[in-house]
Amino acid sequence: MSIFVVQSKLENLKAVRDWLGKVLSGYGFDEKTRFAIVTATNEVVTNVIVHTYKEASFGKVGIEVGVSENLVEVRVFDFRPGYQISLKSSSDPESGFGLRIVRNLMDEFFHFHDERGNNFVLRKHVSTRVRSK
Amino acid sequence: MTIEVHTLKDGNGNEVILFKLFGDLDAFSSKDFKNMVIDFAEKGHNRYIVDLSGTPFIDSSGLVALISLLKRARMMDGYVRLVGIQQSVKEIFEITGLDKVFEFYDTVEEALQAG
Repeated sequence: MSIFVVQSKLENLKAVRDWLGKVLSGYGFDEKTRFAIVTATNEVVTNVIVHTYKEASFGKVGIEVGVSENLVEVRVFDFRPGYQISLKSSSDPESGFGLRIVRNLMDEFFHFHDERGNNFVLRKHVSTRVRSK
Repeated sequence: MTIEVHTLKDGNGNEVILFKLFGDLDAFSSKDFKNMVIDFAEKGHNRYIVDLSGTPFIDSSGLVALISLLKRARMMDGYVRLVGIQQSVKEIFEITGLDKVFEFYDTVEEALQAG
């Protein structure tokens, strides 16, 4: 399991994508799988930065990656207990596109809120055939 | 992200603004692009070519920035033509259905001569 925590600034999105891409490369996932997971995670991290923290850089966003035999799970979490947000369809086109991208690229996507804050879980079922090692 | 701006003429002799984007178009970088779009639209420009050959990544915020440009151009009977789009970026357009909304060309020259 790998964890990365960044300040809640949109300028950190590139660092998140680079880190996640490297982690997935380390597990040997092919480019298509990496692209799907990195792109979907980018949407969720953006959502947390914009909606949990309103782009205020005092906050932090965490990304945790776990890989098992046939599953990659990414959990994106904030540190704002008691402040519940979601990534749902709305009249805001940006949210609508973001959600469509996440749902299309990942197999499972859900949100829960616990005593530590919001958690967004993205899962992708993977075949061992797409892993090069 | 770096954005180069060039002024060209299309096949009909109309002035066209070419935006050449270098780098990812995400929620951070698209803010600069959105502001630039507003500036040009307010000056009355309505024909645009966006060269995305130097853009390996786009997210929903980047799409919204391009839609904003398209809406402003069409309101003034103009157009937006996308050039040199990379496969990973094209996939995002396809997922969101925007591949049916935008015009795509391989080169700037083709986009200029498209009528």
